[in-house]
Order: sequence, then C-alpha cells, then structure tokens
Amino acid sequence: MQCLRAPPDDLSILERQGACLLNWQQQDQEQPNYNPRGRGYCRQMQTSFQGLPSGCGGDKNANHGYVHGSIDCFSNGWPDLANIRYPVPGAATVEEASITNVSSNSSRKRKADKSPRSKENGGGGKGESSCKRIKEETGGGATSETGQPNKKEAASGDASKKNDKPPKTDCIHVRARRGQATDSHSLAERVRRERISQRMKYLQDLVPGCSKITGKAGMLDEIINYVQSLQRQVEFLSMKLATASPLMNINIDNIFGREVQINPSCKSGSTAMTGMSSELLDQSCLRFDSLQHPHPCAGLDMFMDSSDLVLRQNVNPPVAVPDASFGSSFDVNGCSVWSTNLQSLYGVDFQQGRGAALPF
Amino acid sequence: WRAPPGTRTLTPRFGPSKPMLAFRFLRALTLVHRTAANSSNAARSRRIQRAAFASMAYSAGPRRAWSRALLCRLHFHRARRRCAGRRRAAGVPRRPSTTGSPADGLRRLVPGGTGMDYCGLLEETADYIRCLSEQVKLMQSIVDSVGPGGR
Repeated sequence: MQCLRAPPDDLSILERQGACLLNWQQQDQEQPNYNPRGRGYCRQMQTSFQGLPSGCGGDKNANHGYVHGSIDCFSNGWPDLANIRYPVPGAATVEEASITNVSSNSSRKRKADKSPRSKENGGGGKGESSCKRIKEETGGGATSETGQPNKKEAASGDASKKNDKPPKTDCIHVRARRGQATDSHSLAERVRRERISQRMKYLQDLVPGCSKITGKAGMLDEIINYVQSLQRQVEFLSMKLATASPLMNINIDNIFGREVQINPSCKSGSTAMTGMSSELLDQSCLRFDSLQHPHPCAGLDMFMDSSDLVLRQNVNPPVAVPDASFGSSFDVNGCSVWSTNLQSLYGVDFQQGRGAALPF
Repeated sequence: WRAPPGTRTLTPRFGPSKPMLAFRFLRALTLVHRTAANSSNAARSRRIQRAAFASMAYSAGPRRAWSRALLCRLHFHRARRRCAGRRRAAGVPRRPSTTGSPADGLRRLVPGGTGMDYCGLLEETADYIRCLSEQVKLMQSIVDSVGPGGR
C-alpha cells in the first residue's frame, strides 16, 4: 500500500499501477491504519479490499479501477477524473460505481500496457471480476463500449477467466463472471457477498489471532469471543479503578501539575475551548440534546472565567494530544472546575428526556 | 429506517478520537470519585463501567449505530434506575449467545445490532471493536499510571 501514499508526481502512472498490483497480489492482509487524515488512504483501503478478489486477468480495467479508486491520490495524474462528482456526499463510500468509472477512464489511457498486467492479475486473484457502474457518471456509458474491446484484446492471450459482455439493461452495470447467472438478483447477491467478505477481512485484521481461521463460522465465533473478552476487560478495569479511587484524585492532580509547565500559552487555549465545545456539542446530537447542550456551555463559560492556570491547563486541542502516552498527557485539568458543572452531564435526571429518548 | 449512505463506510474514517475519549473518561472518572466516594466498591465500579461505555459512545460520535444504541441504553437504564432504584450494568450481555443464525450472538453483543442487516452488523462490529480496544487501552494506562501503590 505504500505506493499509493507516494505523491503522484514521483512515479509514473504505470509504474504505480504495477507496483500496487504487485503489492496486492503479495499481500493477503493489510493492517488498517487509523489515519483520520488519510481520506485518500481510506479509499485505498476500500479499493484494496475490492481489488484483492479481482484477479481476473482479462478484466484489467477492473483492476486498474481498483488501483485508482482513490481520487485524492491520483487526481493529479488523472485530470479528467478530478471532475467526477460522485452522488454520495463526502464520497466516503467509494462505491464500485465510482471505481469502475475510474477504471473505464483508465482503460482508455492504458491500452498498450495490458499484457504485462495480465500476468500479475491472473496470478493472484480469485478471478472475481464483477464491477458496478453508474451510467449517468461522466461518460461511463460511453467508455463501457470502448472498455470492452480493450479488455477483449488484452484477454485474448490470457488463460484465466474472461468477462462476458455485460447486459446493458439498466443504469447499474455489473459484469458477470463467465458461466454465471447474469440476472439482477444473483448479481446483487454477489455484490452483497463481496461486501460481506470485505468486512470480514477487515474484522480479521482487527481481531488478533484471526488470521489462521478460515470460514465464516469460526471467524464469527472468534469475533464474538473477542468482543466478550474486551467487555470483560472493561468491567475488570473499572473494578480496579473503583478500588483505587481515593488515591486516584491525587495522582491525577499530579499528572496535571506536570502538564502545566508543558502546555503552551492560553491563546490557543481559547480556540481549543471553542473547538472542544463545538465538538462536545457535535457529539451530543442525539435525542438528549436539550439536556446536554446548556451544560457544556455553562461549564465552558465558567471555565473561561476561571484562573489563568486552568486556562493554560486546558489548552490542549484534541488533535495535539499524542496517542500513545496517555499516562502523562491528560489535559483534563481543572477537573474540579469541570466536574461540578458537568455533573449535570452525567448525573442529571434524564426522566424528562426519556420520553423522547427512544426513537428506535 | 436505513442509515444514510455516508455512514456505511468500511474504513476507519470515523475512528474513535483518542484524546476526546481520554478527556471524557477522565472527567467522568473524577466525577464518580468525588460524588460516590462513600459508596461501595461494586457500585462505584458499575458507575465507572457505565462511564467508560458512555465516553466510548460519545467519542465515537452519533454517526455510528452502536454508539447511538449504547447511549440510548445507558440513558434508559439510568432513568429506570432512578425510578425504581435498580442497578444494571449496561453494555454487558445479559444472556449467553444461543445457536441459531450465526450472527445472533454478535447481534446481542454489539449494541444496536438487532436492527441491522448482516453487512452493517459487521461494520458496526468493527468500529465497536476498535472503540472498545481503545477504551481498554486507556483504562489500562490509567491503572498503570496510578501505579502499584494505587490501592
């Protein structure tokens, strides 16, 4: 996956493709990185999950599409793709439609280089080659025709599965595998199965020790066991924290005492406060908003009025706190200032909210 | 009621915000210690556990079905508790998973899992596992930072 993170200007498009495909062929699993900034990376993860099963030698377009599913990464290299607007807001769900749209555009550009790809593609994948398209996307319908002769001429020398000509019945085009049913139900079913398998792979990466287990039933049992063990751990740790309570306060104050010198001035503190308040408010856009909204504001107001020390302590904008060192980087200073106000957050009687509480 | 398409992401785009998790949990923790200093250890640990789940759900945001369901469950139980004086441990499964559909056990474990299709359930499970593991790491680091003389 490293190749996809490289800036597009460094490698040529074709080299990137080749490297990426090779990576995917070799890797069975990928370690998901929780990179909130990596929207491009996130899409690459999606595309990688979709790209892994698609090893069809003939359908290099799909593979190319899977390589280039990330618009963020390749927008420099694909100026025509940058104009594509996807119906899904935020484009978080890089549907197969967008991917195959990219693939159809890329197929036009890369006619000549299909043959070296075919060996890589045909080697590792399972041969699944279905992809969705949305016809109303930019030239998606037009490029499908141009895409097909490209695929056919590239797949001529390939021994692995080929694509049948997709039935152009409605707006969503799914390419059927050779010898498979092509009606909409089975295709939708196949897409659903692919999605499920993607998520299962993701879960497999998440749950430790799951890589050797094959089969959905065993995986599910492992996942269930893992979730149960995590919940038990939370319970156990909460018990430990409860018994350690009297000394806990002192230690927390000591921790924050250390943080006081480290933290910068309070100028950014005010912005951090506003950022944090908006975050708090954002996070509480549930049915209990009416109960929660006034209280953080009240707490923050009182907080802003309080001493310099407290302000400086609370500087830490959420993004600045390092991930690993929890023990020393808690900036929840002035807890004494907060807790009295925020007692309402946790201790308020939610009875009046209860009536509106259960929307489900 | 279907989740809006923006939420059906496979990726950790809306992953747990660790600083916010720490912030919320510590706040709740100190609150528990101050207000329930003279109650029993078991009661305090239950409160801490609920605070852990609450901070988890809040920091995950309302975009996740499990966080919404968890918060609903927490608030509902709190209301019931104040009415009837009962105490429940939210977030802990009350029944062992029985055989049946293979995903049933998982549905019981993950909050909000009952109303979901299998695909969405897997996604919510992944996010839930991520948040749970973050919470466990946080609590473990707190316990460690309190030190061996913390008792």
